[in-house]
Amino acid sequence: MTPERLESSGKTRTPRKTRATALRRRMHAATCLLAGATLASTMLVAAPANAGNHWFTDISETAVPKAECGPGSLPEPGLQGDVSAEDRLSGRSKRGYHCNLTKLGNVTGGGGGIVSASFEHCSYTGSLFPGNNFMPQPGVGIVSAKDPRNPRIVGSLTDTAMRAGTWETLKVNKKRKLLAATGVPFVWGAGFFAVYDISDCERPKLLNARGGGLAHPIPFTSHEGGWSPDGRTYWASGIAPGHLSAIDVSDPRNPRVIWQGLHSFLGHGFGISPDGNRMYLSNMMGITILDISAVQRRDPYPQVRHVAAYHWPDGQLNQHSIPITHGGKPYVITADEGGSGGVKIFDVTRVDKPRYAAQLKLEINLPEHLDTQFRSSMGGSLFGSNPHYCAVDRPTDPTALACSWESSGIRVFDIRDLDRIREIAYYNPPAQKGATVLTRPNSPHVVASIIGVPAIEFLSLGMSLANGRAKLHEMVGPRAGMVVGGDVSTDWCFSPPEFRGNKIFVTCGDGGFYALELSSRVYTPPPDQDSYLG
Amino acid sequence: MTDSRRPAWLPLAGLASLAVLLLAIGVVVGSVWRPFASDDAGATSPKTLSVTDIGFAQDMSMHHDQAILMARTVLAAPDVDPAIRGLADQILVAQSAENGTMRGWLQLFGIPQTSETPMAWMSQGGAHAHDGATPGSPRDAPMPGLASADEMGRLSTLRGDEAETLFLQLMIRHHRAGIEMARAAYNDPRSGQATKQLALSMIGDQGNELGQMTMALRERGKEPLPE
Repeated sequence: MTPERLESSGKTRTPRKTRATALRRRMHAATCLLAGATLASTMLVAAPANAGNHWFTDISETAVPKAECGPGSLPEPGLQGDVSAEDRLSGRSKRGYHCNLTKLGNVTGGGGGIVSASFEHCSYTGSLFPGNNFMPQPGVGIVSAKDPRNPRIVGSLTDTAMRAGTWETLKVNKKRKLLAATGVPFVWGAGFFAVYDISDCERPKLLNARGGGLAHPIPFTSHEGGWSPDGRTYWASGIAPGHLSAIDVSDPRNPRVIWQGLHSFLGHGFGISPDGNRMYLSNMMGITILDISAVQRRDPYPQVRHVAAYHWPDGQLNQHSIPITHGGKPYVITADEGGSGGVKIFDVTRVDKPRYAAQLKLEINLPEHLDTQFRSSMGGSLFGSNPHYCAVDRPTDPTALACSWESSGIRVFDIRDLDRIREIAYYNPPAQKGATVLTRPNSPHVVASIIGVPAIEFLSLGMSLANGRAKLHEMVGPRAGMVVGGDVSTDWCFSPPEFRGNKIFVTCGDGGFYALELSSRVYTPPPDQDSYLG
Repeated sequence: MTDSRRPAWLPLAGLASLAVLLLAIGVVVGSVWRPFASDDAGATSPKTLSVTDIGFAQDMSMHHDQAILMARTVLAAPDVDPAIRGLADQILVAQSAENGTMRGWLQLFGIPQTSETPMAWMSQGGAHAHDGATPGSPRDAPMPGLASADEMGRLSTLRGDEAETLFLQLMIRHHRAGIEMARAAYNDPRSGQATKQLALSMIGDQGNELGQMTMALRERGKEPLPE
């Protein structure tokens, strides 16, 4: 779990172009778009290195130790994180899997969108365009988990941005009690921004009556977004081109873009240091570190400086990062949503001399098991088993890390000792097999299930096959023919699992909101617990 | 409503071929991705960039970033004259393409996208040194012609005639400085051929736009901002 540091720098790589042939159908086009994005990310960010660029070439072959499941658990029978093709076919996956993490309550609604947010006893369900508009309560759903055993949908937020699909932009700033999102209809959006006062979390109030709506959109593009820790700036990023915009929300009634720039060809999520001065921004094949202090200070002529970039082949489509402090030293925890790179932790005491401190993979993510992952994920649509959004239980010396791991559900790790990280619990929700766009219009998994192939995985799978770690014949299983038409035989969990004492609040794409409880055998909340996702 | 003439297996076969294609691409890319060996370095770096090539690409692309934001801001504002929208659109397209070019050079040579010392290449160049070349404090603009965050913020709150006027005033000041930077790069003996070509095309394009904007501002009975 502590890979050797195999960093090298000063290499020049030749970008190569591979062009897919022209495809006729929309289904093909969607697959092609994703494949293209992955390929483009490979080619474009495979930049030559210099002093500011760092390559981490290790492909980790170690998984974190499995959780020891206590009484009442319903453990995964096979590889850690795997939902086998057989379990998917037989209907076993409809019962889910859990270990030291049990369900208290659940509310599904029309499905859980992509990324949801939570504050106090409320959760806000990300919206998917156009599906959310066909729900009884369109827009971003408000879930009250005041009684975690009986969570309820108590309303919805319907400003333009909220109904246009919030993708990975719906975020809470706890300090100022604000909730914001941008409108992202499909992969990329522009112009629509909404910010709400959530002091009364069940009854948010729209603040930006002026800019960001239909009448006066504001000039930014986004796929992803998030708050500066002080809640005065909302940063909108991604996906292509790698545009980054700083929206000044000092006066939330009148949000305005005060800086915008392009910092890599592709961009995605990020994490910001607690002082608001440094951003760890995904460049899809790693992270780019930006000095955003001039915007944070509100310099009259702010410029954002490129400090360093870390790149790695072990995992693609870097999703987001969580800057933490551990033992007095700054670290960044960062997750890749594709390619089975898992979660990586870097010591960034000297940001231009990063140290690879730890990596978290499940067994299903190991190069030798990528054939099994493909075999299992066939018919499950684009995503396989990868971390998407994570949260720690406090920003300083966190004791636990919880991640949404797509088809592997919610995974919780003990990270008190970065040299001895281990899994302590998981909850993989019951599959909503057979769900359709009529019953789950807000589920990205149901909508994407027109495609059956786990296309996001192909780059790492290709590497493993070429390296002889994965075997072609082990990729073929009873679901190999499900190229088109997935059957939603696992859930897709994408949202940050947020700590609430010994409970976790999280939302998955098909099953919606879950209130879960961690066994006291494996987790004791620290007194200053403060769930934090960067 | 199904197409009876098309056999049912056709889309399936198409998707199956697509899956095979994706996998093949994965294998090919995966296998060429692996080598990070040091012996592949240097094979494709035929040229080096001079301090002016680097400084110009870093600073001008940052300068362009703001022009692009300015153009997008006025495009998002309500009730703006189509002629001004057309002009903003033209600037947005031209400068986005130029930014792609300049950042591509930096990317290719593994040079950071931003400079530690903005405008240093111009002050060292001699003939066209600018007063704003060495910013003393974060209160100063790091390069000439930039609008402040307040000015940008104000632009984003305006509509119609007011938005048009402020856009023209800010963009005229921005373009004048941009042309000055491009001229300095063109005249700098350290500039490579590609930098000179790009600088020359900027001088031409921005010069034309400057003329159009100055006329448009005059039509509105307003004056340009002091430099």
